[in-house]
Amino acid sequence: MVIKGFIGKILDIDLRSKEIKEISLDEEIAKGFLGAAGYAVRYLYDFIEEETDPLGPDNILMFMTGPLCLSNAPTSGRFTVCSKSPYTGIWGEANCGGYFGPELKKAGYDGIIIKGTSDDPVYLNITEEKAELKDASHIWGKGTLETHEIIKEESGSNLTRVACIGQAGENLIKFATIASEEKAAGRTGMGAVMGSKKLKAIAVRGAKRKFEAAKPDQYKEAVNEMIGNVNNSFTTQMFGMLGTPGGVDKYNMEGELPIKYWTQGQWDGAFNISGATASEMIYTKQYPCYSCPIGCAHKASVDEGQYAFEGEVEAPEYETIVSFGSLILNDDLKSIVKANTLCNDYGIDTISGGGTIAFVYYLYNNGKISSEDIDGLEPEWGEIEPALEMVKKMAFREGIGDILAEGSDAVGEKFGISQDEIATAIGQEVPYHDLRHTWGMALAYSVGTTRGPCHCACDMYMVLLGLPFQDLGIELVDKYSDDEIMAKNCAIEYDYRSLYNSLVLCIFSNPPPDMVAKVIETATGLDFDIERIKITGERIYTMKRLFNLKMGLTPEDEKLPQILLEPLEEGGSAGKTPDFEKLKKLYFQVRDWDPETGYPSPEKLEELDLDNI
Amino acid sequence: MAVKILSEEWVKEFGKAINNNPAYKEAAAWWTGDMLVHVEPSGPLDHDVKFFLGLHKGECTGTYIIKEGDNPECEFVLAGPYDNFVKVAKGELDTIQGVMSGKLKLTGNMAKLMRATRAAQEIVNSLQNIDTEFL
Repeated sequence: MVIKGFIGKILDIDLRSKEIKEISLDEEIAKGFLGAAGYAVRYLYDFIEEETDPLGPDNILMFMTGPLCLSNAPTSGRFTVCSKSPYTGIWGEANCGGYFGPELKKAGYDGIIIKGTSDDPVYLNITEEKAELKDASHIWGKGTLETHEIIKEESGSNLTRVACIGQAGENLIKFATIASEEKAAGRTGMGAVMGSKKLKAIAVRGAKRKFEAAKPDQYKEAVNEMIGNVNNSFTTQMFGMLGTPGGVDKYNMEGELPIKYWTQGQWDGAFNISGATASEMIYTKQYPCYSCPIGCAHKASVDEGQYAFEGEVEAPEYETIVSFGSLILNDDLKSIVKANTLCNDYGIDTISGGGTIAFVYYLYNNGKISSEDIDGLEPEWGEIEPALEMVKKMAFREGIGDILAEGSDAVGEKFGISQDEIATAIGQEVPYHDLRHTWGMALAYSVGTTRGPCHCACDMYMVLLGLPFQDLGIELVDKYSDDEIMAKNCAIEYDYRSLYNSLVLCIFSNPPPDMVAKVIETATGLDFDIERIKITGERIYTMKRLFNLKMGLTPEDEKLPQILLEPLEEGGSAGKTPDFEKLKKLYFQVRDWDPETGYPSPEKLEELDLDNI
Repeated sequence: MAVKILSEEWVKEFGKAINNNPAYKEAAAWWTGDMLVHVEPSGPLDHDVKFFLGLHKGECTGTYIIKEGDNPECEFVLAGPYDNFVKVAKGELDTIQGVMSGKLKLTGNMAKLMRATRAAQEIVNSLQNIDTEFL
């Protein structure tokens, strides 16, 4: 293998014929697109068509690691799961931490390509000796937590790493997740694709294998510099102690926290569900991913009250705190732990699942639906029990759950609600950093999105806090800017995070980009500097754009509902909202995209070596 | 009349400015926890300067330059090069951006810090109200 960091092999599985073979990693793709999501989008572009049914046998599911996976570069143990999304109809990509990615590398593979559909439930078992499909009838119907336990026990080792679906994936909930070691490949419904293939789980137990860098001594120096930088950063401290909900108090103060289904600007209850409160009330310990010095994930325990349980579970992340907390005016943190555990076990994305449920609260409390419409439930603001009930119904498609499982747009259509009242874009629920607070998020949620609205693909809310990305060309402008600089900033950040998702690195790890370039170069042997970081990122991002256009995305689809643009009357962002059409137009100009078709210009494609696509 | 930055007189003015800021009083009404500010040498400053800010429930309880060798126990420490502190004082560097970008280092009880971003902003606003003579 010429490019170090990669193993050079991918498992290729056909679930129809049960054929399992090894194929070589395409080095030309890897040179241009690196690994993980970058590799996957280039590979899948040639095989998936607009007519491909995302839940049909012709869709392809890819689990991919990046060239830094198994190294000690901070936060490098993540992996991506990619396919055509059954929820948005465009590029589906979910990013997951934990330990599955490095274990797959240890087993001798950079990734897994899954084609076709099995007649019966199966799981894929991978060891250093072989990969085989096993009967999964005994775990079909079980939640992700129990599935993990059973497979690990069958494998004879607790170090077997598992990625699996719960009942939500089996029942083809459009935003079903793939769970791995209590982390999740959460967004865009990759769990539903896996469920449609009757693939319950992938289990992997590898051999002892060390990461081999291309230039070991220089790599050691470069990675130690990166480790030092990440260890000393404020976000490492903050997330490490308070978890991702650490920002809740600040967000509430400044108008960034979505409240009462996007209609309220500030809320006293936020204090009770913040990371600060969680650290005092429920956290037991940090639960870091592979090679992660940040440790944003925590375990939680609740040992008294209505939601008490034995042992520890994964503590809710920020997005879950919002979807089952501020979005429905629920400030009972322990109940949110319960909601989170249910979603994790069933395999439901808490942003889309919680967002859909919160939409039902909005409709009910505004008199647009009645209790009879929703199986007799009475989802009053602040009452969590109806939400917990809806999670269960959703996972099994029972009663109203059958429509909830299709998401907010389907709920809106059923009850004749205007799209302008539904907080989705490109068919998917918008995540929880209010764009009226950081105007660049208007682009992150709707224009040029790679996988539908995403706070990670273009995390301008975090960048403008002061991340050291000036070498990439990012300018720290006022967050209430809707000018060309903001559009350019978003373009640069989209490109950089596209690179991140091809390495894979976590967006909470933000050393200066030249440090990242040095680590890539010394690890892989590829010449890498800031300019190559920028062009590679832009190439990967544009490849995803081409994929989405191939799937039928048009500029008309790239819009936002009024409920997200209506200025709020109170709170830190009161009265403020971006000029969305202006930002969109500027973004297209910055990108050199045709305003009618959304296509990059021929000159842009040539610049990115994509003119042969 | 302008007061020389990092002098004993200046830190006293800083304390007065905080106490004359009603927005700080409101934002920090719950706050307890003193702060040590450590200004590191850079630019025209060729030595370390540390000063103490006593902060308790909306009031600044006292300020002083810390003598070399003294090490008062403070719940929070804000540290950084002189040049960056000057930028903060002039409003050219947002404190949060300074901390996030590594230009300033803030340590202490994270739970309290993240609840106190408005209070922290008002401390900086108070700083900008002092008529300062820079080095």
